[in-house]
Amino acid sequence: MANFKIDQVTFAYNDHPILKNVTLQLKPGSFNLLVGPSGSGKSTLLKLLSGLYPTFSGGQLSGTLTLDGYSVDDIVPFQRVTHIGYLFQNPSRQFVMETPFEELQFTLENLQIDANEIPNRIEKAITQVGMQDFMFHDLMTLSGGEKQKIALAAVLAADSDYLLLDEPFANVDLAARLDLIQLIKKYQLKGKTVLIADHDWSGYADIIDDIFILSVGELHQANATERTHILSQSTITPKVVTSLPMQTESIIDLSSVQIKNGERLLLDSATLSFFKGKKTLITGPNGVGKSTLFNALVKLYPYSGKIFFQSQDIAKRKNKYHVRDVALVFQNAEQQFLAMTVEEELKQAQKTSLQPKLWSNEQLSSLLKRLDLAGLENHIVYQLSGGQQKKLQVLLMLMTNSPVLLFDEPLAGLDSLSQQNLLAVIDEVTRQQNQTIIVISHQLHVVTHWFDYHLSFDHQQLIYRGTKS
Amino acid sequence: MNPLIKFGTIMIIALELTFIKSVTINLILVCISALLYLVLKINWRQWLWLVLLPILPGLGSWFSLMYFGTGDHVHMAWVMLTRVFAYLWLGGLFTLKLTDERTLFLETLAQRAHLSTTFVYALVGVLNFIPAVNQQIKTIRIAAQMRGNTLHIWHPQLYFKAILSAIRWSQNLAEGMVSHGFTEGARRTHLTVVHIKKHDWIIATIILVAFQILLLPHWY
Repeated sequence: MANFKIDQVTFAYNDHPILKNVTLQLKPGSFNLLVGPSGSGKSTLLKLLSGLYPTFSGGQLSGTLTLDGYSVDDIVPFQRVTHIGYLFQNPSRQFVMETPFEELQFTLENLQIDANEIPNRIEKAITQVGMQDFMFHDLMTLSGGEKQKIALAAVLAADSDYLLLDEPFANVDLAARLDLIQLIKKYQLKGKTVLIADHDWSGYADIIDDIFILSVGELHQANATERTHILSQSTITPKVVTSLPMQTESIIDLSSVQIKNGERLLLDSATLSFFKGKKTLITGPNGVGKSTLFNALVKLYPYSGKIFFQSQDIAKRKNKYHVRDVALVFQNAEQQFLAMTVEEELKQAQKTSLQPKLWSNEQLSSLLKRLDLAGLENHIVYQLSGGQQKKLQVLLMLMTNSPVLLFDEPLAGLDSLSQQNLLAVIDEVTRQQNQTIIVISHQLHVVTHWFDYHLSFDHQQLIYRGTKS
Repeated sequence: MNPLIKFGTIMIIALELTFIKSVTINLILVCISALLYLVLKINWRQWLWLVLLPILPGLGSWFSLMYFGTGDHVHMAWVMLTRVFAYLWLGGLFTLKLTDERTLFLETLAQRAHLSTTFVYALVGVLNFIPAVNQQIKTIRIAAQMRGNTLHIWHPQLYFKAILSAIRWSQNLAEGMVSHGFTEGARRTHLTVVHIKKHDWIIATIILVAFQILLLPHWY
């Protein structure tokens, strides 16, 4: 195995340091976890290690970052990838080709793998992640979690010595998550070195060698206390405590709604209601159609059957008015931004809010502080970290004061403190105005007692779960 | 027939057509193309496009030459009208089948024509993104409406967001390619090696020779 040396690495954009004197020793053949709050520089560190930065980012890098004595970003990609494999945080960001098969073929051809060996390797890698039925599907039609599995298959197929994974399971459901962790463990046992950045610490207890903690750009190895705390996270699906809906006043009603993705049936004639002023959670495995359902509710995705908002058929409502009443907080935060800087975004949101009185400057600055966004006013929104973008996005959408807010994975990629703060803010704001909120989430540890109702989405059905109250 | 050979043959004929002032030749080409389309079984919508698309530019040049031209303008008017049809119908033989033959065409460009792989794969990436563009525009508009902003076709913000998405995508594409080991100018292996069959060359030669013979008589 090549010698990977990371010593006194400092990285800065325009003299604004992101990483300070980071020294990281990965024992050969070990399984390592990288933790740290949102915005602490985990993604930046991994991208530097993978050699993508500073080539693609600019910025000043100093210190030693070498592979067998050669600077990592100087090594040509096809050689580097045989040593260092890297998985992006955002699953839709890494594909070139149309189908999973072609994508892996592209990767292996780049690595100059013998043509006779390619089909076997592809099939093996895709089967390992359980996606063999999707080998020739269009990547664009796969869900976030499914894309992540394919991306993982691609790095496994490349068979790199070092595997760097950035939040590989953020959009993956719990069962699949544990399977994939085991799969990566098996890969490590072949003598590979693995480094995973993850906010969700469950499922690692028996397999981790070292834990590294990154906070505000500084890295240290976890001591015994920190380690015990981190690894004590339970792996059991947390039980969400809710009751069955008894209420009569609904706000959105589905009547025989059917949703399809190409040939695949996602939702089979669903008839049910979402209730006014309540918080409803939707859970379900990857690719079941949760995000697609949300897209249908805001008229971004075709469906058959009827959907009503306050007894009005949404098909007959003008988009412009409908999405002011039913607004979607996208999974990808960047899609929600309209301006350049944080301050411009907030000004715009203050101006167009349905209840502008609620959003005084004082109120805003107190919320920004609670969300750990204070002091970022002049930053360009597209340059914030993934977690900061998410928190800003949620705040902006709360400011619209739409009667119904749909949240698609609002907690993905956030550390648990940020998650709690964000949930508290959402709760406070929406309660004040009796807003209805519907949330898709795989992160359940912090929300076990947060929701009123729980809908499970599986086998093309949406069913309310909970105890009779 | 290999799409690259087809492309080459069509290009040569089209180039020659630029210098040939003959209505008959143009019409013969349109007829042959029509026959080939019948064999290829294109749908009615594609037929409609083939008929409608050349009408405007064709009639445009016909009118301008017919009524404002000098010299041999009546003949030239007809030549121009039929030439537009001939170009489009010939070109269609290549483009209408491209969706099915895209991978093969690009592989041929990379392996046989030795075009830069960076160019070929960037093209692949972009082509794969095209279906997402429409959806993206729609999403941008609805996302803005959710926040109380209506972006019309004439709003610069719409284009700003669209361009921003495009820049993001191209950056992602570049990072994605590199992270999957793509290296500019490096050797790659090929799962499917493209060979241009001998009879493709023969057919292309026959077509081109036949076309030259067709040109011999002085057609109208």
